[in-house]
Amino acid sequence: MVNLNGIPPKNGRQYYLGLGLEGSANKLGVGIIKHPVLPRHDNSDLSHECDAEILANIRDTYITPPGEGFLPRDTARHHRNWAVRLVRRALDEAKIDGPADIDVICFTKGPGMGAPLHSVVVVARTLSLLWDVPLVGVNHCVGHIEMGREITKAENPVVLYVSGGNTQAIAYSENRYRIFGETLDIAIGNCLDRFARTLKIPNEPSPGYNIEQLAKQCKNKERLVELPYTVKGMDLSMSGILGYVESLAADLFSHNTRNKLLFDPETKEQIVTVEDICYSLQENLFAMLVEITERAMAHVNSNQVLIVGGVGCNVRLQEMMAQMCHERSNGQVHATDERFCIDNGVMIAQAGLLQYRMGGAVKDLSETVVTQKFRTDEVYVAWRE
Amino acid sequence: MSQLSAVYRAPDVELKEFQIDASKQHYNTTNGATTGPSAYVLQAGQIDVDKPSEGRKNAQGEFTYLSKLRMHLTGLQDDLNEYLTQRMEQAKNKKLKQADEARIKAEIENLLDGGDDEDDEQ
Amino acid sequence: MKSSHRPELSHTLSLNIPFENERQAEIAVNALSPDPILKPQDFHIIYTKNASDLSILFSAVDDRVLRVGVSSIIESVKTVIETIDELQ
Repeated sequence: MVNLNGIPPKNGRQYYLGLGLEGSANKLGVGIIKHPVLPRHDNSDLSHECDAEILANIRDTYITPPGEGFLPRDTARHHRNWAVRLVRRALDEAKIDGPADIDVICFTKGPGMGAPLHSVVVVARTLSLLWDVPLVGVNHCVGHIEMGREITKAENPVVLYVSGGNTQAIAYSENRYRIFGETLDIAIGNCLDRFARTLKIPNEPSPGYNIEQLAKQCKNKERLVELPYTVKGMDLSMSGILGYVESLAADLFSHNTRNKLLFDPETKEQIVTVEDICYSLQENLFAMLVEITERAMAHVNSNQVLIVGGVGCNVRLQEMMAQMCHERSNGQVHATDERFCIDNGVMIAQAGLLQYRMGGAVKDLSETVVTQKFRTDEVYVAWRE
Repeated sequence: MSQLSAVYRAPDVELKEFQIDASKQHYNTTNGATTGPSAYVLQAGQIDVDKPSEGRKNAQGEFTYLSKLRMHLTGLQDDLNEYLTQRMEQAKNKKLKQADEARIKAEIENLLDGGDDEDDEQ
Repeated sequence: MKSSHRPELSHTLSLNIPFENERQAEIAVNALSPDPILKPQDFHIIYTKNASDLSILFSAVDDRVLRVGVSSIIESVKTVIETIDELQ
């Protein structure tokens, strides 16, 4: 059993206020969250039932032209130039006049891109020193997990964390979020984003969203384009698939009629469209994710799945996962909407507040150095049994 | 109050001072010339919507001390970046010039010393 | 004895930033100094607070390393300044 009320809120209040700052990729998020002090948290295992109230969830995404990815230097510039304005907006929306009332400033310590992470931590440190408010460094993945748990109230699910930078199947065990299966090379979001660049489709609102819309427009759903299927034990690999679909796209654009998969050998007519490739790519990748998730579920004897991370917004992925869960002793899939599955500051505040309440505040600023690599299982999950 | 300033030293530069001139526009903007989006992304067609925020004005409509400091520092940063880039170019040209001179010298020596061999008939 | 200024880092820049008061200069030093240098054999930074001034001494092995390092730290200084200006 765990006591989440060991560290009382400021000024004898009956609630905690947490400010969360996120900037590990191209999304800059500032969130403010309120946790009431609840007697049921004195001695229990209820960190997924905080009755969290979201007072502000502000986000700005750095968008690049079609065909281009986001580079660290420019992404860091975006975060630097917007951070203060977004914090101001969040404070106004949350109606916080005296920022010194905030119990803790939570920031993404990692994993992610170095320069963007650093831009954000400079703001976090400055605010902490300015307002005399403690700091907590949060693992980005744990942020997604805790937000997912709080929103969906899922009881100990297997977590599938899928985004531009990460692809992991995670299960909780003895104070750690343990990685049961993961990508051996690139993340699924990265695979989809890079394919979107090859197709030169817009990056607004996100390349993955636009691939999803193209896939929905596929008129040949019964005729899947055959792609390599690369699940390897508990893990999966995606760089080979990416290389292959990129070559298909290249053949399509250059009208290479010798490619019999794309063009009828007799008539030389195009028989596969970009929409068909997008659809088949999703079906293939998502089937692989479903398989590694199911493996993890079998290992820990669970029938619940929680999908977090930007790719978790994908409706088709949710459908395919739900089907598998249902077939497995009537299980369930849980997912959050785009406010929370896409990177945001609120999730950092949520995980950060839990860490803070368990005594995890930073004692020296040397602990606030950001890190590109930060594995999910490095975090000691003190707030769970 | 002391000034915003910088001093540069190098093996071939005893002392170079940088000061700001608060009356010049160059030191009164938060959007520096050398701190825009990278050339690569501009060439790909990027429109910059992520410029730094403008300075803050007080109740009298004047820029705050810190806003002025930020703008002055932006101009000074441009000066430093431009000066150091210039130094880098000079060093590169000097190196190229030295490499050229070494090459010409080697060619002349080759002509003077060993060129006869190539006229030999086999 | 470890020297804080190694002679081979012969390209140096000394930057003086006058804040409004000592507290601001103190905040700036503490917000900037935790981060380690990626290549300490090529680049070194010393942060000093003198009353309400922040002094930064950069030393680098050549002008290119100096330019990149100085501009990057100035970006962080501007962030600290903006944060204090807008949110204190």
